[in-house]
Amino acid sequence: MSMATTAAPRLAFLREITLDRIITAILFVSLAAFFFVVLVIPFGLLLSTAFRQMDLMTYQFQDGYSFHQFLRFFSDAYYLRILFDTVVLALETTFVTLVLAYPLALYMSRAGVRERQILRLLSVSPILISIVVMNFGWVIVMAPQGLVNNTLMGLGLIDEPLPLLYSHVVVVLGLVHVHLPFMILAIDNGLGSIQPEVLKAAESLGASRWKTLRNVIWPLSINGVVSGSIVVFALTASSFVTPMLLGGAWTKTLATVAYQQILFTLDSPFGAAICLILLSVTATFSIGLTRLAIRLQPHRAAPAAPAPRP
Amino acid sequence: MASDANAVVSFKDAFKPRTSPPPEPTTRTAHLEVINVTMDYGSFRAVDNVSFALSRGERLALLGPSGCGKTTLINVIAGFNKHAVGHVRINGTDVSRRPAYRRDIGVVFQNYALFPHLTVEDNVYFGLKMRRVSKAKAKPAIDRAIELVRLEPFRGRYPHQLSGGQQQRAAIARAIAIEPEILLLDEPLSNLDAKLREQMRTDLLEILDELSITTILVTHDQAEALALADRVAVLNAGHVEQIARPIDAYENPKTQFVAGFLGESNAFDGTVQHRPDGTAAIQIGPQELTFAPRVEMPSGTKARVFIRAERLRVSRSRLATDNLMEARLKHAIYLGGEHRFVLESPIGVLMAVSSSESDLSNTYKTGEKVMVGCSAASLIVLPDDEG
Repeated sequence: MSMATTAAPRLAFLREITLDRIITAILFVSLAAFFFVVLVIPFGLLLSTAFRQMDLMTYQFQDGYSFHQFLRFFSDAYYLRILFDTVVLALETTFVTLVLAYPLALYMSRAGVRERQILRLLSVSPILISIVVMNFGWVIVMAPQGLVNNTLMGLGLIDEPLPLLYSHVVVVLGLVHVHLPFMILAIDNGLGSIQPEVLKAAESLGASRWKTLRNVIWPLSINGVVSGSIVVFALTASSFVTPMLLGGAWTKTLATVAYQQILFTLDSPFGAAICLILLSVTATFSIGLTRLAIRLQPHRAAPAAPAPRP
Repeated sequence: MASDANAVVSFKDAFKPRTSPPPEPTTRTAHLEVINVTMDYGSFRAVDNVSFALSRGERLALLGPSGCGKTTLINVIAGFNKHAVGHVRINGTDVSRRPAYRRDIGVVFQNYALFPHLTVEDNVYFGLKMRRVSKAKAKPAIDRAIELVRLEPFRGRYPHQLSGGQQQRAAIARAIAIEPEILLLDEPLSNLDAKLREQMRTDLLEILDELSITTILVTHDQAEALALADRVAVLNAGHVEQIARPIDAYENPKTQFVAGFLGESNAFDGTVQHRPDGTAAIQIGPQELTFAPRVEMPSGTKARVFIRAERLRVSRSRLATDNLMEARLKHAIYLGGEHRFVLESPIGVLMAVSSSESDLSNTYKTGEKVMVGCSAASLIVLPDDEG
């Protein structure tokens, strides 16, 4: 009797263990373990490597930690130029993608259910193809003996092939092609959350289509635009397949330089430092844009309804 | 363009309190005319050749079950539905080909459809902003609209910070701030819970009485229609069954559909008989019920009789009334303010409601034998359609 009464409180926690909780715990732990292995450990290695120095004669890490690699990067005009070019390339791609994606997403959001499904499928279809295949498509089109040059020469408009391939424009074109689906999906998602009656209300209050777009649709789609821009900017800034395939040896971005440093020069500390710089560029852009979005949409920051006042 | 903008700020008398319902329109005085409007969705006819007219300041309720075409009809009037056949005239001008944004019609949507990114004040300002009125110039109109719906403490709030009733009032303020020619209210109370709906119905009546705007109200709730409108148009399967003042539609329905739709009725099929003494009766099975004919019906006409639940009298003793039957109480439900009875009578199962003071202190038992009666005048007998 007395045993039972004293034991009960100590064992009470056992009753709290239900199958539901066990499953939740297992799922949580396995997810945490997964992210630890694929994200936390590699990032820790990257972080520690970036502050080391490599002896390029012996390929051994030198002793001690320092900001050497970062000072090296920021004191060299060559690397600063690459940083600048990378940011410009990512901004250009994000802007072109946005300009192309918005009207399409707008059309999709107003289309019928069936048409919308078809358009959505078509717009994401590029994701199903490998980036390499998409990029080589542009090589075929833009090469000296490619579709565009052959056609123009066949028509007698030019005498010799134009240097289309390995130009800045083709890199932007290739990047836009690859990243357009992400922007379309993000904006379509934002536009889809606007109630159709809200647009009717604007119309009944005297707003023409253009004014409705300007005063209602655009402000309500800013979230979609921002998330699409963050995704496209981050992916473009860190892309290296497209700049390498379509930009040739002349186009250098942070990602291609980091790749070269780590795999060819074997200076992994410098490569790691470049990776961290790239990461801080995309992080700065994301945070800046998110803050801008909050400033532009005060209603999202406003707290939900407080208790009604008497 | 400039004169348009001025017209909006100028006082259109929209905010003048309305004292009494305006007279019904003649063809010369009609403010809004809907003429032979028909609307098909594929092979489904949503609106079937509907015509009616409203005089300035009049309030009409479009009442009908869901799917009767009432929402389609206001979409046509507002200009959202571009494929309708027929004409809509405002002040004698045909606006059928005009886009919604040039019709000057205020709409209050069922889900309110407030702009989520704008405060109450900016929602109300929106229509005037679209008319290029500066915020400073629009301020009196904004203030007046917000005051009318009593949302002054909430003018800086965003829609998601408002309760359902407040959102509803903000939507009304937004629609009336432009002093529209016509105000359309689509199921204005259906998104509110039952208790709030009662309160908002009174509030809405007060708000509408402060305005002189010609108003159309769409609803499936007869209480809403009867309480708020000067006239009620009962719609069924896309066509208008009857347009009449609430009391006329209720007391004197013209079709079996209207009689069955308004109020709580017991309906029975029977045959009309004229008696030698000049009175008329309807034969339902073995029972004859005396009634006062409202339309010409020769003997032998197949007809349906509607007996309103609140017009039936239930008593333990004999009643002095035109029609009296013995019945057995199948269910006696006491609801505090009223008794509800389900009775087994010679003509079938009857629903009756009693809220008379003398009756409320009585207790009734299931299975009890009672007398049930009704006057000849309270019976509504309408002939079946030919064929």
